[in-house]
Amino acid sequence: MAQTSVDHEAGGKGLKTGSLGLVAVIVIGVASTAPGYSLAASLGGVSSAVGIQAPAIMWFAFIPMACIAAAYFYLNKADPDCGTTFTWVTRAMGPKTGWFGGWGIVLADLVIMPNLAGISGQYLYLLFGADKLAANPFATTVLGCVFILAMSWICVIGIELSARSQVALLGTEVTVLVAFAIVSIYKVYANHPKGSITPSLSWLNPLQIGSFSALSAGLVLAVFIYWGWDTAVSVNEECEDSARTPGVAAVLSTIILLLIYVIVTVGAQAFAGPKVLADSTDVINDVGKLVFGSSGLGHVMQKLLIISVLTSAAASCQTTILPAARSALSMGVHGAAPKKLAEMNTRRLTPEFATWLFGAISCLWYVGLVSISYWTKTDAYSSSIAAVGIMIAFYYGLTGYACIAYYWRFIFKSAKNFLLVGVLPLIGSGILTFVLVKTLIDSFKEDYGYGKLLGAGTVFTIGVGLLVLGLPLMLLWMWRSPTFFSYRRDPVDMRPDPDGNGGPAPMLGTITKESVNAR
Amino acid sequence: MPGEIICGHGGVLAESLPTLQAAADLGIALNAAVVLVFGYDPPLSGGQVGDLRRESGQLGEQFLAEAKAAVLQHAPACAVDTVLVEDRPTESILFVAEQRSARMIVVGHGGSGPMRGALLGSVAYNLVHRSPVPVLVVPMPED
Repeated sequence: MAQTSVDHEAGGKGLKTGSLGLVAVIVIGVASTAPGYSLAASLGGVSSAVGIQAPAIMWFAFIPMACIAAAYFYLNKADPDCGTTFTWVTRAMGPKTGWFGGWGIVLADLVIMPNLAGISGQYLYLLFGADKLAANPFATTVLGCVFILAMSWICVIGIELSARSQVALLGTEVTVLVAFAIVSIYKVYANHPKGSITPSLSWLNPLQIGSFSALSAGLVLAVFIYWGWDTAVSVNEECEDSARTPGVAAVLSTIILLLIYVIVTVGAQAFAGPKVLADSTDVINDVGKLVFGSSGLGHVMQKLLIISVLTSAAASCQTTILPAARSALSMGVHGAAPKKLAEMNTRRLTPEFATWLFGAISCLWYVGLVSISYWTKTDAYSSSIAAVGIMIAFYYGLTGYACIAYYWRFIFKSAKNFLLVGVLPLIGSGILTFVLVKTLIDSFKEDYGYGKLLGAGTVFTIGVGLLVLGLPLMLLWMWRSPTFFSYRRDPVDMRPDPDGNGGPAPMLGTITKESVNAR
Repeated sequence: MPGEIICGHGGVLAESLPTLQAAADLGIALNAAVVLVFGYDPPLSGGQVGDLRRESGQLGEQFLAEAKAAVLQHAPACAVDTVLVEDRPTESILFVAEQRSARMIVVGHGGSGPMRGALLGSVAYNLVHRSPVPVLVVPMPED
């Protein structure tokens, strides 16, 4: 691991500078994105949205995410805070919009938990050959809830795998996925298994997707597979060589992720055909069985595939709970939510209350979704990936606009600023806004898939219902505790130059209605 | 002043008391100052850590103030300094020890049981292996 160097300041406080090497930053970025789990959760949905063009969506979805990562990178310079969107949007657009940004983050994390837990439960059973239990929603829900609580506990006691174990786990995951893709493609050409189709370059062309509705339906699912990638960009403060490492790490982790997603999608689709992918609820396992076969080595590879999805889901679970709890902590610290959320475990220095609360609500939400899906015709549980796509499009989009609004004064100062702080965030937010609006319009109708809930399409009801629920909550909180809502946007002259070393802006909360009037 | 005694502080006062007292006794006996070190480092795998780090730092300062008071209560004549470091505990202690050319390190061990220590590593274990100066390991009271 990298050497740790520490600056010692007068006054008895040391600051860590640059402890993360290139490999560590790449590992954090790729592991947070969780390629194995993301594929297991979304490949089927993407295939049913765009059919044979699934590989095209896989790379195309990266564009808005990469553009928003630029916004993350520069806003992080103004305030490297764990509130992220909540903090930045408050600074750029004021407390009410900022509050909704925070609400969006916590919701996105919450909405995805049932899926994460469900896949973990299912694959845990599959690992031990209990295929019947893996297909039983009651059994997977029980194990899934145990999984959520176990992961919350791990987050509370602050266990972090050593860098070496993370590299080993991620290495296995990537190797197995690549092997899966290569073996599939090899078998397609060598044995022409039943239902297989020869790969074609046209699969990669997003322009061949039939309609804007199909494109946005694919994108709203696929933005999810790159969700978490921005972490590699935002931990830049901790890098060994913070001028170079984050950039190189971002490029390398991008290449790794893009390659994995595209070749695994191409491999699975060539081997089984888009129809099988679209109909399968459990693509990686179903196709994995066929690809690797049941002979000695094939069996081992198939188990490794299951383990990869599991470790990936566990990593993803951790990178979902941690930011949710930290955003809640941030909101608690700044008085945008009850102070209790900022309560720390004094032994482990973790936001204990927020973590357990998030874990508990996740379990309730999970059980609720499974119950609705079980007792009605609605598939509320499976709609969660599309619903989380709505949340991601909402808060990532908002972050891109916040970047432009915050750095407006600097955008026209240089070509570099214009591109990185202006154009890229605008493209990212533009695409995400398109996806959001189009999905809201399409998903309102019952025929969007997943059925109908409370008078509208299930994806619409869950996505919009939860976001709108924030409004009464915010009004209630404004009435109970108005302090946070007296915060003002950062005055233009206090915003740091995105291209300079101006350092962070003054702490959130130092700029209020009173301080602005006094100036 | 070279030859100070570095004392790693775990945060929870009741557990650290024997360690702090051992460091204070040594400080008096060797006529050396005791430097209390508290290191903290939130995991980065969840992305940004800003507010969490600030809250941890505030808790750390509070822990160090409590620990300093406890040392002075045990040995009023002892010279005590405190250092808060934003890094993992082991790294923090080694850093301060090296920077101040310390004569030895005092650290507590065992509060959370041998299994957890073996699985997750323990500060005392790491220090014993990596420290360039003598390390005194003080057993912590059982939970």
